[in-house]
Amino acid sequence: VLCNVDPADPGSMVHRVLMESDPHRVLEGLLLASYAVGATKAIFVVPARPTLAADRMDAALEQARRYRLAGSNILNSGFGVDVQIRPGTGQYLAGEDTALIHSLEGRRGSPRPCPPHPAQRGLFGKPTVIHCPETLAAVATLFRLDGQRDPTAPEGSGEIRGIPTRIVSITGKVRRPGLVEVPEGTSLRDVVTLMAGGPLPGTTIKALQVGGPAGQVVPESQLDVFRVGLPMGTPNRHVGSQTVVVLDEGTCMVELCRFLATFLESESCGKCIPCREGTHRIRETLDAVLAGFDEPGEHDPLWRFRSVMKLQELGDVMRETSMCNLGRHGADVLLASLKSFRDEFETHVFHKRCLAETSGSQGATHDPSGGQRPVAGSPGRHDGSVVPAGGRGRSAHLVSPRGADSHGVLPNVRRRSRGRTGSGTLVLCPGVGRDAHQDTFAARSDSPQESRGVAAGQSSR
Amino acid sequence: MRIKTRSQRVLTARRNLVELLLASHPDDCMYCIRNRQCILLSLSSELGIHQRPYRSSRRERRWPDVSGAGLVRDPDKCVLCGKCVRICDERQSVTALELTRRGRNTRVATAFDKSIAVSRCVHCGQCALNCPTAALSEHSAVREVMEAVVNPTQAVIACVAPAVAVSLGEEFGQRTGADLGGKMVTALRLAGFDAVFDLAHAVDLAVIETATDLANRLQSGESRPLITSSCPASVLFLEQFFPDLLPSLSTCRSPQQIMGALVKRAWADSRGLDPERVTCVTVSSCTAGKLEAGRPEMRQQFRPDVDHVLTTREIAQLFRLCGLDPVRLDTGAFDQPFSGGSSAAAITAVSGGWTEAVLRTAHWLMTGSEPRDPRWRTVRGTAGLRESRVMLGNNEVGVAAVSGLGRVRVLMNEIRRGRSDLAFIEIMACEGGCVGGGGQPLSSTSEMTRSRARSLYRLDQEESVRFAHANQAAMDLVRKTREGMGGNWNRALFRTVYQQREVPL
Repeated sequence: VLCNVDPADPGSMVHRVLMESDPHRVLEGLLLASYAVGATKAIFVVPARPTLAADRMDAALEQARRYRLAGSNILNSGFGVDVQIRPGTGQYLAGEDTALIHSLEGRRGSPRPCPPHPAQRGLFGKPTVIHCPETLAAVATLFRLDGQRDPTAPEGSGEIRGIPTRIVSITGKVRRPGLVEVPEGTSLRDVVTLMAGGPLPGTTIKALQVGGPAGQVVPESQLDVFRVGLPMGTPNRHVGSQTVVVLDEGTCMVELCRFLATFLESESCGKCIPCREGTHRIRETLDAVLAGFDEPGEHDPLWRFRSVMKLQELGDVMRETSMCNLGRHGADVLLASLKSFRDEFETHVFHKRCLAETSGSQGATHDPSGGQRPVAGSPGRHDGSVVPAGGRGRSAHLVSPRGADSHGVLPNVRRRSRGRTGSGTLVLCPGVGRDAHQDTFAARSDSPQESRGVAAGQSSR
Repeated sequence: MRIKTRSQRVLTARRNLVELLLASHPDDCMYCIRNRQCILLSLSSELGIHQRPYRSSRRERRWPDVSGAGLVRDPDKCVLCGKCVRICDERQSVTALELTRRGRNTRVATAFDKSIAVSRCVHCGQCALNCPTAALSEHSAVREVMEAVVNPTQAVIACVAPAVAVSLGEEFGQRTGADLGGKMVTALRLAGFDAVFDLAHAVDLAVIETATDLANRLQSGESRPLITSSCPASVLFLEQFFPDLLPSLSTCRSPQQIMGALVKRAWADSRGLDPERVTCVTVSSCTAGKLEAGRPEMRQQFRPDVDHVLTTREIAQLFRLCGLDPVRLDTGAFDQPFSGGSSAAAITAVSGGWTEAVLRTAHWLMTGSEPRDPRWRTVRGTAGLRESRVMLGNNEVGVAAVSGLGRVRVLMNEIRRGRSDLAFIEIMACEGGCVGGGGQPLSSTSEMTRSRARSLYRLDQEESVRFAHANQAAMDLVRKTREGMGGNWNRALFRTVYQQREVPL
């Protein structure tokens, strides 16, 4: 049994907060899962550098060993499981099942086609079950509930008393960004308005970006439809939903897409063509759109039209042909934005100006360089300086959505579905919206300690 | 389940993927070594891609790595399909190539991204054989050979290996396995080569020498197995990865180098020719032969025994350059004195053929008689490793024929761990032997390799001289060298030395 905690580092607070605050429960879930599948080895994959989460997990494991709750012959039951803590590679893609296995084996952290699924042939050729801490914690909770049926549930549905909860991280243009634990099934509108206090004064919510860079965009009109922890829409469009970035009217969707595309381009493993080349061409095209097509030969309206038409086609092809979820859902935000916010793209392409600038109460300004050579940290500039070319030396303003949910089997007691890369990540988009760089962490005055730690951890990378 | 391979979705996806590949690919098809034979190009033409959907990324062109004697790497042309990496790692177990970096920066590279000359590459050429583009190709010597051919002061000798005779036809529209041996001799003469020798002659010499070694080992009770040294890539492989097994390796030179030494050191002398004015060109299916020809111990007074090695692909290109279609030519005969070999020499191009040829002669050496049926069926076959126990006189001898370096590694590891039931091991770097060599026509499949092998076995069936020692000229030469008669004709022509090689990682 593998438990990938690596995404619990700065990007994904969800796992991190769980590991920091209740490592025993996660460990208990891991032991239960090992018992269920008859595993003799269990591994926590933690971030490579020292973190509080890893330390606490270490301590919890030490305590468990002392009380003979882990190791050989647990409580004289004859069942034993060897729990280890291993450093991960910190790669975004190492959240994908097979890529995680490869990186633990010391190979390139790139995925392989399934089948054989990890449960058939996984780490070092052995059957492997991979879960995220949240799932394991939910398993432990379930056992504590001891199978009591939910009295309100219909007869025979097998539902268990109590509603599972999910941890959601909310950032962006809201009054109270942070982590909230909500019952499964809570609508995103409730999460944003009730838990997070609604939009910042003077702004209105335009959309939510959920599920990390390979996630989804939910326009304001659909906030009631999307619910935490439940699959929404078609299978291709399901929502990880554990991270929510609130976008206001001053946020340019093209800029958002470009930012996420830049990230995905730098994190693609390079194995399959659609992801390796597709993310690059999407980023390139969006760069051109934002720069107003100022390269020679690009002023031709037909060329401009075609290059944007190509975006749609490219996104579809990536979804159809990519090997893993990074590529498969890599263009989801773009496709959803093209669908819901087509006017913004068209204004950029044909009128070379930004709708978000005019609609926002304080206009966002586009950097004329289109973010190609951004001036990092120039406040108020819509400069896209979030991830410089090459993906190195990321600005400390950015909480990089590095880790991905290990597998995404959601801790839903009634349903076990295969999940996706990219859920359980948290992203702050300083390039998105006006007063870009000032509000990233300063706004999170409710958790200054955490944000400092995060920022420091990020810049040290 | 019904799988549609021509639906709109599939076609759109395929077209888009090839468009993506082309967008990052250099646009210099007309200068490309794979011009006319590029799989990427044929895909783009099949899918009807006639427009640039993306801005061409004006990437600066990097120079190809031409440091390797046998292979040239041009990473710009690479589409990152990873075939070379898999072949090098999984089939050949050399792992000279690996994918490095990630995302769009992914590249196929050698250890520490150093040149191929200092890598652990053994130049077997299997990567080049399967590369869909020109990212990996043989180090072409066509221009150098043509310069020598048109130079009136140079006597240019072509020595043709049997494996080429049955594969050249594929380059000229013939069915796989068509025997073009005689016609190729005519074509080479018309192209301007001054003499055309049969490399099978040198193979006979090598077989006789190896069989003598084997007989000596069996009689002296030597426990170590005798490993064949005919395959240059395998020799390099052992030198790099199994230096402790080098004493087992036969000190017999490869046929190509025997022929080169004979031509340059002895034949030229006997003809009154200045060796400086003789250019020896081997035509074989081997890219590692290019490397072997440059080895210091294969030279005399800074003069290589073999000047150039042309692969099947290159000789086909040379014929096209000269406007020759060997298919339409008459059959010619090889020049004296190295005019022909036994059919035992011909089958050495197939994995298992060496074993068979050596067993035929060893049987004669040890019992004084030839076996009634010269075929040793147990060493034939398509499996990568074939072990059998055969009777040589009163001795029961364990023999193994193994092809593909991955399997060679497995067997050598067993030997290293103390396995001692084998007296004779034939190792071939390329799957199926030289008929599946790295210099064979591109995109050769294992089925094509088998077809070429069948063709050679058929030749063996029809031939009257089926024993290396029945090649009278070869036997005379062996006697002459053993007795130390006549100036330069000595045993050093047939023998070589090996040394351990340090390679990165």
